[in-house]
Amino acid sequence: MIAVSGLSKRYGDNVVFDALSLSVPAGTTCLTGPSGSGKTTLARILAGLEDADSGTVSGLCGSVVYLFQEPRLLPWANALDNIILAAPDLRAREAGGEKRSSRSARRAALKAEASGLLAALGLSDADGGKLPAELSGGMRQRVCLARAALHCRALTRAGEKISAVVLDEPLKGLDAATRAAAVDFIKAEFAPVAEHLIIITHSGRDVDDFGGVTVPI
Amino acid sequence: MKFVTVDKDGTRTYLPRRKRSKASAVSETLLSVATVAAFWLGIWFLLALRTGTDLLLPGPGTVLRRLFRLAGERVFWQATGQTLLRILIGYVAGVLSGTILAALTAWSRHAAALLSPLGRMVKATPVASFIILALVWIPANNIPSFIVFLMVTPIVWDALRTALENTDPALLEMARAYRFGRVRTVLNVYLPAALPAYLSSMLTALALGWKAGIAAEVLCLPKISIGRRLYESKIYLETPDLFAWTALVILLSVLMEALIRLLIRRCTGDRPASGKSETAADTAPSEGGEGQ
Repeated sequence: MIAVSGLSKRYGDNVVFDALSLSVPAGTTCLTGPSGSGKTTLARILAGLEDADSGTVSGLCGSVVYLFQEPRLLPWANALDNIILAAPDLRAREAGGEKRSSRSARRAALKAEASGLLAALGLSDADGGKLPAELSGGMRQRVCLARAALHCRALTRAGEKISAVVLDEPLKGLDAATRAAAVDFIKAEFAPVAEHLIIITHSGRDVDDFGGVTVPI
Repeated sequence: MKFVTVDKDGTRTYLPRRKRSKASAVSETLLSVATVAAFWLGIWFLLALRTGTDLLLPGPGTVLRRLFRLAGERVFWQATGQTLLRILIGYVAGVLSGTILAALTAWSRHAAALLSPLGRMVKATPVASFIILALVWIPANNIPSFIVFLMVTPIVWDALRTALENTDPALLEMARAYRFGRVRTVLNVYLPAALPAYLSSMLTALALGWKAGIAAEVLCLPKISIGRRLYESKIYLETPDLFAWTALVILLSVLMEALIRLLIRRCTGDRPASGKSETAADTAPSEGGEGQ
């Protein structure tokens, strides 16, 4: 269980939250709240991307995988390259004494894996070859989901414990059909490997789709 | 040509656009260049006609004839080759040192504090001062290369350092979150983000390098050089020669710029020049649904 206790964060005079305390149980949790309530800030603190001003966060012993609210794709790299870059170079640690594959073979394997992830999200190989500027907002969001999934897989293969996967508005910009595929994808890819799957959302529909525990902020 | 018509009742009719073929685009460009060139050559011709003497302003025909006559002499090619080599050496050395200094000063604040005054001093010092000082320090033959090096270095250094420092922090945070590591962050985030500014600075530096290099040759007078020919043309009041050598310098500068542009295009392909990531604020079409 992740325990947040007396957490405070402010940006200048703007207090995001003051002495926030909450618990996130193992399994799937939807962290909900209105816009401006500090959901993303809390998510970033949980992911270690930002420091709180005071308070404690305990129960995160292992890696945290984070999906940014906005796409943050490299504009000069195509979708597939954006995805495979998120597979950390863990060859030395991957699978202990397993034979090292050559760089190009590893890259080809990663590309195939990334293509599979994109296919599961309803994107084609042709989409994988497109630059972010050539993709719609919803397509980019799915590329980002695939990137987080590949990152998660690479860490798992390297024997790292995934303490939490924090997804900040993972269904943003998706239509009904792709949304259902994305929900299934998230449940299949992240829930089995992460001790905590935290979905940041302000939508009741997301809470219904993911189930689990709802923690308001 | 209009591709949309609007009726009185506000109905808009869109007409299909005919895509220009590559050949027609090239011929249109050539026509436009030829028209502009003809206009300015015409102005030059009329001014020369009005002046009436080659000593003050030779006409384009005279200059072209002189250029062809000079091209028949061995010394013309020797001077052109030597000057080209000097400028190329200075330019390549300048680009390399500018790149190394930019990496160093963007990477380390201490290096930036130590080296920035040097860059500012080089930028603020008049070229002539450097040339005269260099005359005391190094052989006249090497001075143009040294001056080009001094002109190119701060331009490339400044542009690349600024571009590296302005790399989108959102992308850098993403690279950290997904554990790109130092090498992959440099290769996949910093370098592509800085590339457009870097290449553009290389082109700017080339033009300035040519000007400074020729100025250095005129002041230092290396035995075989375009600069010496320019100087001698002035001394012997051979104004058509002066114009012909100047035209040659312009031609060489333009050719070298075109070559570098070609190299850049070969290296970068059709990659997008933007250094910023697509953020939530961008305007790409979304697929609807929630969060809109």
